[in-house]
Amino acid sequence: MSLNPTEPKWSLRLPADCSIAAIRSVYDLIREAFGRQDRLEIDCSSVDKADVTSIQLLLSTAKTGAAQGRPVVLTSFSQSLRNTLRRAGFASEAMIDQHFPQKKDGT
Amino acid sequence: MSAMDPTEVFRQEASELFEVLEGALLDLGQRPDDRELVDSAFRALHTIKGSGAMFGFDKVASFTHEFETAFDRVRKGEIRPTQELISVALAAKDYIRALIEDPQSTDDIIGEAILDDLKRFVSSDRLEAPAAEVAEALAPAESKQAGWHLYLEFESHILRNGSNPLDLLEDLCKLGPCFVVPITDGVPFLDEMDPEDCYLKWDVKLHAACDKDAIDDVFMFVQDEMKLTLSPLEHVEAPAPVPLFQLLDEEPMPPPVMEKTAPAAEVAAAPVVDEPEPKSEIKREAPVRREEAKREERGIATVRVQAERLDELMDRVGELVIAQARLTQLASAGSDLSIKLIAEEIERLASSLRDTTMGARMVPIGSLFGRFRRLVHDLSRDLSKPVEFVTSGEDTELDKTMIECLADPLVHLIRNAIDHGIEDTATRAAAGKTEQGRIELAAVHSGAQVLVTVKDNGGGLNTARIRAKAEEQGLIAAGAALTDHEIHQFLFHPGFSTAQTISALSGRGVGMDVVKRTIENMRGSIDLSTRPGQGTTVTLRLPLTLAIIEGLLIRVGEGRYIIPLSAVEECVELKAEDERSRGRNFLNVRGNLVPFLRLRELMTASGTPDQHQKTIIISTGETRVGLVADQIIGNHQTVIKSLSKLHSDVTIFSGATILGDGTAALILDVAQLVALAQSKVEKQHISEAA
Repeated sequence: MSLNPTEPKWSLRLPADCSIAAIRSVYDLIREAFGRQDRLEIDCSSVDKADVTSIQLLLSTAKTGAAQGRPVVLTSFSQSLRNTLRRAGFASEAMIDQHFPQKKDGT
Repeated sequence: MSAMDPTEVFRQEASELFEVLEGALLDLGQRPDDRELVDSAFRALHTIKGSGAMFGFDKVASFTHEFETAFDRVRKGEIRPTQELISVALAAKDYIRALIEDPQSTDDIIGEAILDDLKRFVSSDRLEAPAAEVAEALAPAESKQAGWHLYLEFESHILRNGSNPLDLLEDLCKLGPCFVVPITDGVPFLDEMDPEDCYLKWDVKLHAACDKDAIDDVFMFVQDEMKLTLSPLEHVEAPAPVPLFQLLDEEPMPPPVMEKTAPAAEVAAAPVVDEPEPKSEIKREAPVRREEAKREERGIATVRVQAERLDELMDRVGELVIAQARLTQLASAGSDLSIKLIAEEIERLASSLRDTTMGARMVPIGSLFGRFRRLVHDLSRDLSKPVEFVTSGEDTELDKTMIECLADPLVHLIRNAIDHGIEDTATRAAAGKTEQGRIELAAVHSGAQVLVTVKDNGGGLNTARIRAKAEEQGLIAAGAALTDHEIHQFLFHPGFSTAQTISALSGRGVGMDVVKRTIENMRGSIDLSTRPGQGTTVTLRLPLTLAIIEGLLIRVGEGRYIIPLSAVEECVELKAEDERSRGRNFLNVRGNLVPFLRLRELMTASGTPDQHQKTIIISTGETRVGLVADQIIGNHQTVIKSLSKLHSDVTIFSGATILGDGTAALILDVAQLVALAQSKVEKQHISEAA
């Protein structure tokens, strides 16, 4: 699943540490961003530490966006995040696409 | 009051886990077949690893992970935990502790050397049972089949205590090819979520003919915090599934057909169409174990409080007790009945609050005993003396300050007992004893005191040599008539005995003066008893607390003094014939002669003595001494205040307290007074002999 939003958006770059040690501040960051903009683009390229909490937060963000009609787009998954997703069972690109609304690089 | 630094919380929790780990490892040395001990050690390791990673102690997490991996063969029952292996594991534990508490002091090379040792032991020390037998034991025939279907649901808090479901899934996939499907429908909306809770669940198909126990092993550390549903797979799908975790660092794998078409939740919920429904599904919820119930109880019933807050609370209670004493005194001087009633009520409440607060400061002595197991283990190894270490009375409670003060004296005593008390194996064998020596450390309540004993079954004290040494040092005249007990007391004389000057069999005394001083500073006493060839027992008598004691208030001249009530045996009137024994200073108490001290003389009190003087008989251990005072005023709740450094050379007082009228009273140091009386008696003996 890929989106190519044309409307004004607010881009958020996730920090390197999105593990449970820092997830609460990432959560606050995303909620704050959500409060400001109708559309949200989340850049995941810097994520270096990820775990179950990171996955859940991204899932929840996507779910909340979909429910409120405010598209959320995830971009540039880092290798670390990708590995964590696969370890959690999101083993294929299709599965990842299915759960995480992504904008592929260059699209 | 500020919240504790989370890193500090981790350090404290890790400290408790290290105790559990050390205890389990030491027990494992004694009971190598006890699986519960292996599991207990692993649970502690696992939590340290998880929490360490969570709090940014990456080195701790990675070292512990290596430790866990190397020790894994013990867990699997493939190797026996030998004493050598336990020693290396203990060194690894020490290294992790240093990584947490003082990372600057650690060196990676040491860590690597420990891990190398650990790996060397676990790779060389195999069980003697043939491999096939081991495999058979690990995989009973009854549960062999094509694989397993698992449903995993973790309790929401599981991530907070450092457990990582992804590691568990990875471990599971080591058992064989796995299809892992995450179930995402439990993930809530942003507003409803706690980002540290676990919402994901997993549906897993494990295509491996492994035993159910192997799966249980994967989840053993979290079995109380999860729901695991297991059902057998009857046959393996064709083509064989691609193992998930072999692909982690490769290009994205082609999506498996099953997961590709249906949402994960649906897949998990839907019946598996290409597999027959299992005939009997094994639903295994984590059993509600007694420990869990206890833990829950504890979780509700206990609160972690910083030690200094308890000290602060005790100080406040002390001030309250002093204020209450003043109120009581004022009320009793007046005639207002209602004020008297209130004063009595406050006295009752203050007394009850004092007891409750002192109770809150009480700590089981077992927390201290645990430390010595390692000491005994290491000394036993270093001195090549096999020693059995037995403890009892671990539940006996003492004030936390006392516990802290008691650690060093007990280290001295136990070290002495192993080093000098327990004989080497050849000597023991020649004496017809078992090769393994025995050290018993026990604690028991005795009235308002706690008795802590260190008992060994070694050679006992060599009284003749101690006497010879005392004579050589000029402490006694050659041939002086002394009892064995009196001779043994020289061991507490500073610098009396060292390992060089006394034989190994009788080398007590190293640091014993320090032990005695420490115990006496705690208002306790120390007693020695020994039987040649059978061993020695050192008994420490300690008050329950250092903060507030029950005291006996006395008057000597114009001054008032407190005698700790626990040391008081009885009060008698000084009779005329005792008065006439001036110069000899002995009382006749029911036929027994008891030396006494005239406190008026000791305190150089002015004025005329009261006509009917009172004698308070005090005792430390077996020694009784009378203290002659002008008046016994009565019981007094004594809040102990330390004396200033200026008064540190005044040995007969152990502290001071504030009385109801605001004046101060000095607390008499019973042990010092007894020693003083004894020395006077000895001088008298010598002068009479001359």
